[in-house]
Amino acid sequence: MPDSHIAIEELVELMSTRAGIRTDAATAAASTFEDLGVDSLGVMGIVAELERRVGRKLGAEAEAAPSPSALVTVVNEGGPAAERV
Amino acid sequence: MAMVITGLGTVSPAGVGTEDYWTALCEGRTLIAPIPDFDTSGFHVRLGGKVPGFDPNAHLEGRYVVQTDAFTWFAMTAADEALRDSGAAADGDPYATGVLICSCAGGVEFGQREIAALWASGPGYVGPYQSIAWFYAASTGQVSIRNGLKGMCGVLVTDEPGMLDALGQSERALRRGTSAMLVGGSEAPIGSPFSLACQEGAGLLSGDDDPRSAYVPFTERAHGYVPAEGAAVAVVEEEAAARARGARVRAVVAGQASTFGGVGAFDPGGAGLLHAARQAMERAGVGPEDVDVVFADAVGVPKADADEAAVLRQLFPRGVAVTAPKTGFGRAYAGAGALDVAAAVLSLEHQLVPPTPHVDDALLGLDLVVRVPRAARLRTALVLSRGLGGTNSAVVLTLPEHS
Repeated sequence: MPDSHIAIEELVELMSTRAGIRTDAATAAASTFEDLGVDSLGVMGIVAELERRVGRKLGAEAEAAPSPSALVTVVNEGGPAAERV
Repeated sequence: MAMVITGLGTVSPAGVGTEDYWTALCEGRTLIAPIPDFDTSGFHVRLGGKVPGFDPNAHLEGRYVVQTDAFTWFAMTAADEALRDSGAAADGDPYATGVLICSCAGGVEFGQREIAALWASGPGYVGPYQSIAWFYAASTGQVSIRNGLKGMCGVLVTDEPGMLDALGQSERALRRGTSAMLVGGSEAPIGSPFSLACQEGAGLLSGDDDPRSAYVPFTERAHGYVPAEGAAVAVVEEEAAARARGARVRAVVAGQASTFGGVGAFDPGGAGLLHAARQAMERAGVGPEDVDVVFADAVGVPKADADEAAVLRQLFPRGVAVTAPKTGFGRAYAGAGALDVAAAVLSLEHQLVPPTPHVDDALLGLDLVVRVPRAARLRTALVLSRGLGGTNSAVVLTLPEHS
């Protein structure tokens, strides 16, 4: 079974590989995707990779997350709700 | 209204930067080599003109490296040099400057990677940036975004003449009140097997394995061309406005014209090319005696070469110096016409016609500059370009009057 939870460090890695944005966990936790320079297509690519890692669909709520912290919350707390969709 | 070039940037098989490009042209350097990035066995063409050791991270922010194809990397890098060279203020009115950077292939290398992911793993593995990276207008869009340029933007997909046609469009944009245009052509067509495969169907590529004999237009040995990658971008402005802000005027774009000669290979017979050249000269107010040098299209296909030579003989019954420096590195499609425009500007500035590498025996009654550069009094240059499918374009560039 894949781990259904993610940490902000994973987002730091995915922002680099999927969107070309290099940052650190502290900055990522305190910033919006816009602040960091990750555009909406970048977030889509990050969400697609997260879906593979956690083994379930995350849906539009994840793609609309305004910040790395919000996305972590959607992934870690939205599991059952997302599966109901 | 006089439209002038105030900035130039190039990325070519001679490397990044216009100085290195000009040095290589004057040396007549051989920049054609085996295509390095993948196994070319099974392909008819195995040679190309590759931009050597291009590291996008040395020139661009990470986000642009990840989300764009190499053809857009080249365009952004050339645009940076052109903007720096023009000395245009970065904090001016964003709506005053537009972008027209042409491509005829788009981001095929990027697309091949995504299609490989599709077949290997499934649709969820195709990255979202595929939606923008492949597109012909990607270079215009990213240069616009990265530099905050919000004036008239677009792309012309007319094969090799792209930038020449865009110069004509730019003149209209300037007449309508745009202050400056970033105009160019950029292509990266030899980085992946799929992009190379797309070019083989036309049957115009050289199958030669010797870089010195693979692309020799206007000779009896001509048997096709070698593909190349590269970009050139120019900043164009209205002359009075450019001079008012103290810009260095590098060349005057005195006249431009385009024609369409019909579907098929290159405009059959050259009638369309002749018409475009005559119209460009007429618009520039120059006669055959005024033109000092012609940068020829020089496809390297015997029929197309013979047509172009016939056009030149008709235009210039008393002869004219002709050169085709691209024989040193190959044809970069939309980058080809753009790199020729850059070469013509540099030629006027240096009062030197660069040679046509690897071509020693000019036939067809042409006064081709070969082996070494030719010093000459140069005031007016004519650049000719043709695209597969029948597009023809001509631009007349003149040396600015220094006041």
